[in-house]
Amino acid sequence: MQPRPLNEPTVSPDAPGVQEAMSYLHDRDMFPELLRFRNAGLLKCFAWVEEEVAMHMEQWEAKMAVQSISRLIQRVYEWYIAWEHAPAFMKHARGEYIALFRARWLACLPPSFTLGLRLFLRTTLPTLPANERLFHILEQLGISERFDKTFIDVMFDEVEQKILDTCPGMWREPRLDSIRKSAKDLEERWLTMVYGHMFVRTQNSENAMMMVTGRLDHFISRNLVELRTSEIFDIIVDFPDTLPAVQDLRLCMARSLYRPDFIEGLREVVNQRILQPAADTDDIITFYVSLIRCLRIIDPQGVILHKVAPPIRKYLRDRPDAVRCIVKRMTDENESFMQEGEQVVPIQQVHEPFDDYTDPHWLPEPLDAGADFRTTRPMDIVSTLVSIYDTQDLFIKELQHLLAGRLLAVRNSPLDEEIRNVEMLKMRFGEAPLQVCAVMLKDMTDSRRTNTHLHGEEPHPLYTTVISRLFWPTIQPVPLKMPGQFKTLQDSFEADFHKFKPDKNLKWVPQLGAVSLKLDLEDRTVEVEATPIQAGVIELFSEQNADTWNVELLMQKLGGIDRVLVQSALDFWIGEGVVKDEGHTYKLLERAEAMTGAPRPLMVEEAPPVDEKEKHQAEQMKIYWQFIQGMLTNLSSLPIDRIQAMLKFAPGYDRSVQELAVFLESARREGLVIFNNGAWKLAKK
Amino acid sequence: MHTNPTSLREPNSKSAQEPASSRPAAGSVTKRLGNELMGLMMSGSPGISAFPKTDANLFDWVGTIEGVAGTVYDNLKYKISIHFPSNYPFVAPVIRFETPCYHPNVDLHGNICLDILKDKWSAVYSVTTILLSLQSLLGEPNNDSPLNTEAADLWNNQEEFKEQVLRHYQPIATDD
Repeated sequence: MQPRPLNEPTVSPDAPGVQEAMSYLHDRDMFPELLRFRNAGLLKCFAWVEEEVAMHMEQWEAKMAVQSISRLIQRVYEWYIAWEHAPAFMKHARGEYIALFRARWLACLPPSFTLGLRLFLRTTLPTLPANERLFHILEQLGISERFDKTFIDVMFDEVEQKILDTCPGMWREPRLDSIRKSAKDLEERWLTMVYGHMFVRTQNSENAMMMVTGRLDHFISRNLVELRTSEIFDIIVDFPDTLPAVQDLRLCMARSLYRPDFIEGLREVVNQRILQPAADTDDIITFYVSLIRCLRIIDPQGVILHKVAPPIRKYLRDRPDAVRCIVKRMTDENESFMQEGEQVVPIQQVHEPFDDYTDPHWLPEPLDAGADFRTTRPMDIVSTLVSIYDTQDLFIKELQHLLAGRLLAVRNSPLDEEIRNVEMLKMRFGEAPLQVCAVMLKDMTDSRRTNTHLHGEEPHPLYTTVISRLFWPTIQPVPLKMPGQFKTLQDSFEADFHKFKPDKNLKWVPQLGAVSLKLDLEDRTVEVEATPIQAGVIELFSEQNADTWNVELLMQKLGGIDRVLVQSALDFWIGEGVVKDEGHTYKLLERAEAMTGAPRPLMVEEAPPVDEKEKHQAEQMKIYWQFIQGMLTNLSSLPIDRIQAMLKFAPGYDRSVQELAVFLESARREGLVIFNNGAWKLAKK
Repeated sequence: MHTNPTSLREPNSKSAQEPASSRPAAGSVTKRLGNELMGLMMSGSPGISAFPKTDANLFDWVGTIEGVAGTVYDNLKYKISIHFPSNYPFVAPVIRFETPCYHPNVDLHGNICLDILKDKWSAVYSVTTILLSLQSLLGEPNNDSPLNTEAADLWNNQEEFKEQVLRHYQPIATDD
């Protein structure tokens, strides 16, 4: 009856003599006595099991090898089986034995066993169906019951591992579905294995499984959101290639539970990676645009964007070149700010609160929407970018500037693209603000007409663009006097122009434009595109008996322009191999010479043609000019103080009478107004 | 923009009969008129223009309408006066031709018969739309409700009509 060590042979309960002894005891009703004796023996001998457990656990803690756990369970099970043997008549006492054994052995397990078991169970996952016996043992020893939480944890561990194995960096294909599927599959197999032994599938077990399923799904969503949040910067930057990852996020975020963390993560990324002085404005805008597109998928109502975007917008507002970048993109052919199905929304409407009462898919504002959140009109990207600024004036100004540069660069090619651009922008900004751009375009077409009128249809060496100064950014003329044949061309054009439009004053901006030159030299012909200054310099060289010049003389001959300009023009010709630097003088090379030394790097540094400060003033004056025109049309002629007083109707007018006088005087020189008897009036058209 | 509503005095206009209760709204009226002026200035519509008569009063404007090419009024400029009631835009502005205008819907005193200035008035109209309507009225009179029946009868004879137009027309005085 006494338990023995495992290595000692046990006496079979069916051995001769034992039966008789038992029935003897049974007859005398001494079983309870016997049971107590046996239990006392069991408790006394349990030290052996304890020793064994302690040994294996020590090994486990030392080496962290799951084999120790496996062996421990095997050994304990052997003890369990060995001591279970009891005479047949004591079968009814088996329950007591199991309870006693479980209680004793589980009590001597150290806390580190939980982790060991967890890791050990993980190793059994790949060969799950083959482990029927193991789970039987685990159940017998009461491990399944005591450590049920661990059994669930194992499953979570596995799912987490699966996410970590298959998801990081994988943004180009959807992952959520496959994870969910494999989790479902694992759960099915695992729970059946674990619980299948404890109880048959009853309503109860179904419920337990349902609960676990729900938790598992949460767990997947949370882990994936956490992972993707940590990767969000790259995901946004690579959008739309990362669309599947973004879609996954949307599905996971259907539970608003994870939104605060996601928003927090996003804000952090924005702060660390985007709102840095080192970040290029262009990149910031690109990121912002991608961010908008991503969040539109993740959270169509825009609450997250509403919480994340303000710092970016504020930062962009402080970047001086942001407007330029945005405008450049707006008008860039290759840049597509518009996605399919997007509607151009006039900017004025952007700030208005928007509720579409006819929308059948209307949803209430999400829980985490702040008090200042307003459902905004669905906006296209450009409107969103423009709405960074409180006023559109900046954009219009920048647009005008950009357009001026592009128009002046256009050589006689169709203006269709520019016209289309301006028309597109009119849809956004409205007709009025783009009036100036329209005038600029009109100047271009008018110029063509003028040229055709003056020169006929044949190509003429001089092509002029006549611009209305008030409507263009201020262009500072360089006091360049074109020499030789250029002068003749200019003069004849000027004379023709005055005949054609006698009421207009023509003022050259000689430094702008381009000249196609063909130089006939003794041994070769050189064909180049040059700036007017470069052309002027070489023209002087081509004069009779003047193949050697110094810089001072050139400057003087060209109307006293800056030394730097002459120098860079000379450098250009040296680079072309047409002129040679001979110390203080420059000589025309009628015969080509081998280049001495490396060609000088071309210093093509074009001074910005527009003066920033004056540009702003000219811009404002354009609006005031409309008002002056309006009052002079209707009130015929007015003295300057009346004009000044009336201009208070123009919003934001703050000029002094003196400034107005200067402006009117310049308008007079352009032939727009006439001054007569102390009053101003419009010139007759 | 400071406009003193009490300085609104137009002897023969209706302003004297307007209820005093509409006065406090003058601020928003001047704001609206300011916006309309801005809109008109920036609209760039050819041949129409208007501007307040003085800087002290936004309620009285002077306008100019040019006849559209291809109509008998081609190249003719007409001066008009516009008076905004203090409860504008709920009530139409009072508009009359200052330059004598021979036209079926304009009487000898310059009064105009145009539906949108009378019963069809709506607060969504603005100076710009009114001026455009007047400009098109010149070329397309409504001969069914004439103020000048003689002109209405003559309309079908465009040559003779034009003669009459020119006979009545006085070029806008310029002081040079």
